[in-house]
Amino acid sequence: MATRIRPPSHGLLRAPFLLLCCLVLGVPAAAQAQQSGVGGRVVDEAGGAPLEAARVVLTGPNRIEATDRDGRFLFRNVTPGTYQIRVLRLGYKPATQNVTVAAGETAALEFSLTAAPVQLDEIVTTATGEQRKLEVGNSVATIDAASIALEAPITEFGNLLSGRAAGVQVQKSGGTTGTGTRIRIRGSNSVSLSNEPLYYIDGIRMESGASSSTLDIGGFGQGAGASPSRINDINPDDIESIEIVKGPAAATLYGIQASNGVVRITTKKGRAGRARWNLYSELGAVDDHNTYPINFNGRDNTAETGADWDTFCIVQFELDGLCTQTSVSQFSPLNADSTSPLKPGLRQQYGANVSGGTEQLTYYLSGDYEHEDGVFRLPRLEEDSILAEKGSVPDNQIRPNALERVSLRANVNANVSADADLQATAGYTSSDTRFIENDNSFLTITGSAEAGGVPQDINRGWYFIPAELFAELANQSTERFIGGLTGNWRPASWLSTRATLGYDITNRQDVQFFPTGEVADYLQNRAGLKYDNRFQISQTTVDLAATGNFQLSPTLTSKTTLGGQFFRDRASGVLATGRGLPAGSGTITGAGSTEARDTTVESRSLGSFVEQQFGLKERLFVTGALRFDDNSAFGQNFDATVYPKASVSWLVSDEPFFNRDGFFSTLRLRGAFGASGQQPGTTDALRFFTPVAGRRGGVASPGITFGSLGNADLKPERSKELELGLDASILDDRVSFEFSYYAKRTRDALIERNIPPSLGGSRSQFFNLGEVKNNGVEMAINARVIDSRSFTWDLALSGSVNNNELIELGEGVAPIIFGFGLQRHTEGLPLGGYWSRPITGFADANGDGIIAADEVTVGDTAEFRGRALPNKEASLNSSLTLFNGRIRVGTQFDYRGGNYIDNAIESFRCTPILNCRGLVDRTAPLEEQARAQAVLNEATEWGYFEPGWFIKMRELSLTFFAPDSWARRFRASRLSLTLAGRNLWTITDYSGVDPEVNAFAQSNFSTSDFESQPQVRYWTARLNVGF
Amino acid sequence: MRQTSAGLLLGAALLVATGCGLLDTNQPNIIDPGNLDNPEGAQTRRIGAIADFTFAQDGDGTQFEDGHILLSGLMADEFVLSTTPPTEQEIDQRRVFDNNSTLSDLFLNLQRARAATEGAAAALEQYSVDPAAEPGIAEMSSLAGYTYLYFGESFCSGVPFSTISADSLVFGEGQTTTEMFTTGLARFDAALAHPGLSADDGTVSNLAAIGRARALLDLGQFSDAAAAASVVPTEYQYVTEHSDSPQRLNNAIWAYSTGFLWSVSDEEGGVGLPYRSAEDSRVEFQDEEDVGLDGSTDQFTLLKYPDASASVVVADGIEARLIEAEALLHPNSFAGVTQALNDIRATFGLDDLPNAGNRDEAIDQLFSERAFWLFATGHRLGDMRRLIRQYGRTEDEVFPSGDYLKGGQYGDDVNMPIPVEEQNNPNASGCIDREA
Repeated sequence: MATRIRPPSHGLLRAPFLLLCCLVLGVPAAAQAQQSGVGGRVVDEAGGAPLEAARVVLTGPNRIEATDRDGRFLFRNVTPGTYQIRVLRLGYKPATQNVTVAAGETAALEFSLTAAPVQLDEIVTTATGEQRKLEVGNSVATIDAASIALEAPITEFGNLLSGRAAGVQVQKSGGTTGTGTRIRIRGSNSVSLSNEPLYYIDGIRMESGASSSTLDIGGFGQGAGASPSRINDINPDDIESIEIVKGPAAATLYGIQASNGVVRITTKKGRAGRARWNLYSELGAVDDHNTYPINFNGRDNTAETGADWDTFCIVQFELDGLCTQTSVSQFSPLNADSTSPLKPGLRQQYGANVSGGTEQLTYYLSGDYEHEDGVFRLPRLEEDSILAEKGSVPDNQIRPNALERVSLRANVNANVSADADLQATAGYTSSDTRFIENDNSFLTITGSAEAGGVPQDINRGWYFIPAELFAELANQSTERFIGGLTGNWRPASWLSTRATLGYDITNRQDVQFFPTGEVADYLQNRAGLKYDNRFQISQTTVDLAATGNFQLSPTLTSKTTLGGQFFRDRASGVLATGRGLPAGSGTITGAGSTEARDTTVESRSLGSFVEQQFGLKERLFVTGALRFDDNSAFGQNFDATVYPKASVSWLVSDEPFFNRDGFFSTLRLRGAFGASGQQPGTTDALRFFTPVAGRRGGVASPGITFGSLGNADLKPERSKELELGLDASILDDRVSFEFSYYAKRTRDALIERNIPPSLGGSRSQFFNLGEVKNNGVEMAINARVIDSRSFTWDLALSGSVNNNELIELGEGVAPIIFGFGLQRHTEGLPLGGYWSRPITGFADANGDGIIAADEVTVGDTAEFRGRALPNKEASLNSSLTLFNGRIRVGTQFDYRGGNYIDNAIESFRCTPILNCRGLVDRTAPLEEQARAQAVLNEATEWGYFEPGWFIKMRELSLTFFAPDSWARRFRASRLSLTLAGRNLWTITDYSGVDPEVNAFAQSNFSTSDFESQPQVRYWTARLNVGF
Repeated sequence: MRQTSAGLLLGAALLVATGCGLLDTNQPNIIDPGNLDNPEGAQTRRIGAIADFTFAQDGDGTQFEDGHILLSGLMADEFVLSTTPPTEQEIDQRRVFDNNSTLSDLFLNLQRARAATEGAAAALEQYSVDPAAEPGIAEMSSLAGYTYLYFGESFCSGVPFSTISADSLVFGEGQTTTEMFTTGLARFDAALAHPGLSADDGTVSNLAAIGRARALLDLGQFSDAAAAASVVPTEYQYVTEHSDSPQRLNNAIWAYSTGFLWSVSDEEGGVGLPYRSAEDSRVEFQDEEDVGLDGSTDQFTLLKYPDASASVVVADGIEARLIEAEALLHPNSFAGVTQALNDIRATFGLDDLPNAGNRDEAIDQLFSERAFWLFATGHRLGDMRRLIRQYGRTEDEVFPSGDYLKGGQYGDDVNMPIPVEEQNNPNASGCIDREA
């Protein structure tokens, strides 16, 4: 019988929400302003060209408009009075003018902006709406996605975030096409809940499952391996900008689930003017340039044993008198051209968008097609063999890893009246991704080559040959729609209201098919097997807000915002399996045995907030806020929660005492404090049983099994953060500098505590027990190093250090051990650190050049080795513009470090496979032999925890902007060609293939390199044409 | 004005919606315990408990959850590992660390089976229309008793047993090996004394009788064990049932064998029994002339369980006769032992064994016969420990030792440790000892 969860009622929470409904939807329009306005034009001082997309702020009412293609702006329905108008635009110094608006008239202004390499002020979107960045007391990172996507080698959404914001770590867990991304902002807050940030797109909360799959394609756990992340459904070419709200100090008003930070995506919008078309075409190659570890096969080919390869004669066996090593072969089928299935894949992307409109209605429409073949291709020899036998080879067997995606978008803005506008956004994505098995499976290419233990002359060095592995089809299809409707209404000059309704729905089908008789002879797969799992995942957003702006005195402004949100997340699915399929059949119908189950998970949350901001002389801003939240997942004994927030932003350089002709051109000090949370899982608070199939007397019978202990006292975990920082520009705005320090504590941390298995219940139970600390610093420097008419060079350096520590796990809670016993949450140490028994010493005592089993000593108890997740990151972005802007060269270097990575594949090759160099090759370095002996004889992984730091040349791009005359030949207005590369060069001490992989996919903490596909290299050529 | 009214109406509508439960959710995949407090619910708990017991004893067909039969057989001399997971290799190599995740799974699944059967017995007692006519109560008590025997036979001394009640968790203290057998014995006694057996056709009473005999054997009370077993007819069997679907109900011993993960052993580590070379029809296997999934271990596939739906014997009349035969060892009736064993062999058309010449030969004969008759049923590890504990054999005489076939040496474990997760039990402190 289903369980219906009804949480207690919370009047405290709902009252503001309802009041808001009335405000947004029906405030009396008594205070209607007269039809006065302010309009004007913004141009470039240098040439007088109109400046499009400048943001114009009408202070006082705090209204913001953008300029159109002609640089024009207009505020309608402005109450007569004196106002300050401020204009902000990327690449220009802000400009301010005062204006007096008379009744029934529209005042006209003209702004000429001076170019400036860097600027500190811009418009950002917060939970309360758009506002100047200088008013916000916390750090907000803004990524100019539209510009980046034009020139940088961006192949998916995650690339836009990587290396572009301090404190934001992007880890793509492998190089297989379609693989997802693990993202951390300011470290990991939560011991047991997700540490992924929250995503909004155009004000709508977005499904962002980091590992969104049920395909059993390797990795540790179903849905791991090369599982995709839903954030990569978003077409980067449709994105205007991304804002990253980094922690609870800034994310308070986003409510529960926001403690890991918030990523706000804003898609492109149209601007008034004639239709403007942009077409682009991208062609490229995906290439695995890595060198894989060599298999060392020691043989005993003495007369006594013959030529039997499986004798696995390792050096220690010889020392023990068990064999005589007569030869050692060295080979990897992944490195030999004749046997390797790693061949360049084709990447292609084509798209078009058009935008334009009138003052009343603007539009942006786009379409995009993307296809990428991964680096796997059936070797010709095997293809020919299948062709000879069967006459044809299925495409998916030739190219088992590929992605195809179609994206469509329509954004429309309508000015309904002088005091109301409406924005409709709609995005649709259809994708098909074929995956290949990866990370911990007998059916992986990497595993079959590295961990099969097979020498070159047997099966060409493969455990299972590529043809058998590639016959498996693992495909995920999605149809996704994200749509929203936002209405802005200004019923009075002092009052603006906003209502957003949003719906994000994904229909996903995961199909995994092992054709009868064609796949590898593994378990019962060859008898035919098919999984067909279909899901519908939806998120509903209702967001209401009302803001009142008041001029309390000539120098003091007040802004009061009341807001409320309702969210509903729901996922349901039906999972079907058929085993023993008729030969030639591709359907579950007719299977020898079938199995089906269904799943439904739903959670709902309701929240409201009130925020008060005071501004003094437009240079000191003090903000305070409270957020109230309730959620269907809270325990029965817990009421709603309240989160406070306060911040100060002081533009010191605007004070009279500040000498702006000195070292600093601009200086802002800021500080913020805030709290946010993370809700428990949907059913974590409940004690329940789950259905299970039973059998008695030869008859199938329904039964139940214990599901979860639950915890009626469960409440959200609570993260508090103090952030202090400064933003400055120096050398006449040629260099900007941002620095932030943050101290974050997560209390009442939800600990998924292992409970004693002797209870005979579930494995774990959630408690609000723990405390986690994250302290760190972030820094960003943007500089125009060279600025001449024909040659400019911009550098952006950012970096961060995070100190993560588990302060308290809870009284009586034993360390939580996971990741095959190698990772632990232990008090006083970083979360998820690596542990094993240490190698305490080794020595070649007899001087024979060999470390024997008895020449290595290992400690008795496990010790902490180091962090499993990087805590240091830095990136250097360079943009060099040559020949009067005709050529632009962009590069990005990416550093991550402070962590170890478990080279689990190498230890596995030592034991149980016995084909690693440390065991087989008597000339191997002694340290290599020692760690191999230690894992073989003492089962300690210690020697395989290796420093995980790396520096990667992540991006290189060269863009040629054709002269207008060239463009006109094609009846175009703009023409550019970009040649770009991604993942081009790596420096690391790691002895494995790539330290930036994870066999646990986007798992919260578990990290390991095990049969993982390393990052691949991209080369692309992209043509952009504008009409 | 019209706009204002519309807004107020919408606001009022939302107010009503809120009052109606905006935060209510529907969770169809879970069952509230309160919904089971009735006769039908108690029977559902019984079927679930049998499923949990089957899962813990036999594993499941996904190849991700090893059952007691597979893992105890791996640590004993029945199977060698022909696949690769290091956590399973630790068990095969008799060198098991307490953070071994395979070990944790087994320990938890056995405890879940123990708690589920005890819980189902209590529910049937409370909610059955006529508990005095409900044999399921004794059946649940008996299956609970077997879980205690499995712990006592396969794990170290010191296993705790805790309980979940409606409003509290009661953490148990570690029980010695003897205490575990005694607790199991109490469950069998309770089953045999339950009035519900009046409606039993022998299915449950014989299950309890053999369990009682096995517990007594473990406790070294051989004649009492024989007396308990004597009531069971030779043809009796109580089995766990399997099915092609769902996969959780697959016979995992079949799946692991035919999947080339477990290989039938032969004289493992020098002292193991010759399960293959004896060419005994009770341990049928197939030489695949190939290696297992690890790429190195020769694969000999057990044929005892021919398909995914093959049943597994929990207790049968053969075991009852073997217990009676063992009892004859203690008055040193060697000829009687051989005769008893030959009587059993005759039921299967097997040739007679030669008479044992002395006590050691009789012990060897008896335990070899037990090993072949009860192959892959979860008895062998307990028997190997009894050989040390009750018959004075040394560890090296019983357990595989020396060079392990995949490198390194065999360890010296004769049982499995308590997994590290049990450290969260404030009343338990791990193994009391690791002795046989």
